[in-house]
Amino acid sequence: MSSLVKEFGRTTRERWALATLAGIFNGIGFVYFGPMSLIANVPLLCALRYSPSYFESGLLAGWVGFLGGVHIYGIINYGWFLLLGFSLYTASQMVIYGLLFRWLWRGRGGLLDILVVAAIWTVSEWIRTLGPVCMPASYVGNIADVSWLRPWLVLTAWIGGIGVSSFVALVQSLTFHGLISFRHSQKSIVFMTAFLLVFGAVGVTQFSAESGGQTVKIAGVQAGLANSQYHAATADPAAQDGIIRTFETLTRRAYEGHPDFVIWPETAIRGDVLRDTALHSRLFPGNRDRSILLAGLIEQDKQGKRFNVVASVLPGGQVDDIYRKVRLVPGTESHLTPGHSVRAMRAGSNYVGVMICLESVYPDMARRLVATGAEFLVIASNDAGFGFSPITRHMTNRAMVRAMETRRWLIRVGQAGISAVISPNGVVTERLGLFKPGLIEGQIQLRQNQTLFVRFGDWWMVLIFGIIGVGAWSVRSKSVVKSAV
Amino acid sequence: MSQEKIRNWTFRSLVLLMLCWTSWVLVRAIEELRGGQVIQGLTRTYLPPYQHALGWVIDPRTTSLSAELIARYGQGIRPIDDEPWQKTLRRIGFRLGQFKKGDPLVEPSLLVHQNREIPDLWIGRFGLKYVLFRQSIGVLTIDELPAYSSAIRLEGLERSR
Repeated sequence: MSSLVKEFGRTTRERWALATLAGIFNGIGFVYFGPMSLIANVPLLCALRYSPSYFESGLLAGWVGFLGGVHIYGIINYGWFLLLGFSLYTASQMVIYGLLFRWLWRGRGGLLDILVVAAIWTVSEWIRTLGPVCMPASYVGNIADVSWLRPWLVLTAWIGGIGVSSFVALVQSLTFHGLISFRHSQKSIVFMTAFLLVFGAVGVTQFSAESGGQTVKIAGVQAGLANSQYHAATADPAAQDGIIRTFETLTRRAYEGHPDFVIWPETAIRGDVLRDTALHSRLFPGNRDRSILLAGLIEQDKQGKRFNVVASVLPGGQVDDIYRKVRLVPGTESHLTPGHSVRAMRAGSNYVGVMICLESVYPDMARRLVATGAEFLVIASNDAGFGFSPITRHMTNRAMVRAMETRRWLIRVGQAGISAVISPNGVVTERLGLFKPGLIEGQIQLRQNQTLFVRFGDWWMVLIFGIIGVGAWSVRSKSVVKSAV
Repeated sequence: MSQEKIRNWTFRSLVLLMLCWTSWVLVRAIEELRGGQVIQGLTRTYLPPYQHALGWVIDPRTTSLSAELIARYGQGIRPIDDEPWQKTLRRIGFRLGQFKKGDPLVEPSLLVHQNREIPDLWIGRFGLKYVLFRQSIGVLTIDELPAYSSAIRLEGLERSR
């Protein structure tokens, strides 16, 4: 068995089989079973160590990324190009991973080799958070709902989601080195395993950090409608009225419970609600209501530009503030204009950090919202287009990461679900499933403190680049010695 | 067993497993994404849209014309099972006007067909398409209106939906 593991991957067809297996493992970890991420890249690493060239290393790793990417088939409902684009984008990330491995991994099985494998993953994942059209995907998002990994997860408040992703990559590296050269790596593996356990123990001490702060009541409105109803509403006024009646009924029901905040999902009603005074009396909080409505709507300005917004509406119907979605979904939201500023939105005497749909996958969004004063976070979303595919569960996981990174209570309200109230420790305290109309209600605490991650962002990457630098120096010295000999 | 044989066997097993997984994911993806879900909404059940010989059924429903007229125009009026649509129109308070030949259609109207007992309710236009309700099918968008023998204008409506 041991020799099989060591030898398998010597031939080209074995390497491609291993890469395909790694692609499937990554896909499973991505959408079905998060803990699979802990070993997802091990088959790829087994293939890459025998890869004879940079070219093949890049191809093998790219194939893994592509296969992992197509597992989020749910986005196909928004267009083939999005699924293909996302998969190719993921492939490009993995090409970087493959090339860096080929360059920096020395095959000695020491501490540096183990750390380098984790570091190159972290770099390739971090690259996905850069640039205007970036699309982050992270191991921490895969494992966010795995309760036995919570001791690591809560550390996102210090080291960010990227830091916890590097732990996952470190486990992959330890597994890989344990499989191929346990004798040579024994001490390093034991040391790094102890390091991970110590971090876990530190994480346990952070569990109590979610208490404190002024308590407020919230209610999220989940209409549970399929996107086909919104399409029908564009052609048939009765279908539009059906949508309005659904929100009217649920919102009125919410007001009766006297929550401090009632929250709508993204683009709940796709008419000009902000200007239609007849709708104000049906939907907005009246003078007798105590709630502030955070309404996901389409706003049209005087020049005819349309924005995807969340408006805070005070009791009496006055609009207090508007947040315009900054990061629009490429392609599908090309008819909308992006907003300019990422900032906490005023809602009465409080400040709320709003992310609309895809914005919640960007770590810097929640960070900037909290840095500008957000006391709690809201994700207004519409995932109906994904149908019952598991991508919505993954998006909810990402919401958990945003809550943990910033140590804020977070309410995710999906038009079709999943809606959830998430504690600063990433625990879902209330949940409403897919395509179920109803209210999600709960109590949350407003918070003002700022985590290390909020203050300093991806400072963890300094350590990661340090490891990469040492790895590069080590490889260079080796080649210098070789050429001297 | 030789090392070579074990590697071959391992390779084949891996390929088989991966093919099984791919097939399972494909079947599951098709099931989840083809949009065939029936959704129980707050006020009614929503059926998935589908292509009909007439056009695209954007909001399928099995309701009668009478029930549809009450749902759209008869706020506060109690629906009565198996009520003839002519009676429903009177209960809602519509004045019925016949179109003169050559008059452009004005929504809402009922399009009466010689060979069909129940007329279609013409709701309006959506871009270049027509939107109409047909009993037992639901709301459709169609490229051309089906041939009709006469049209009944629904007048006296205070709040058109």
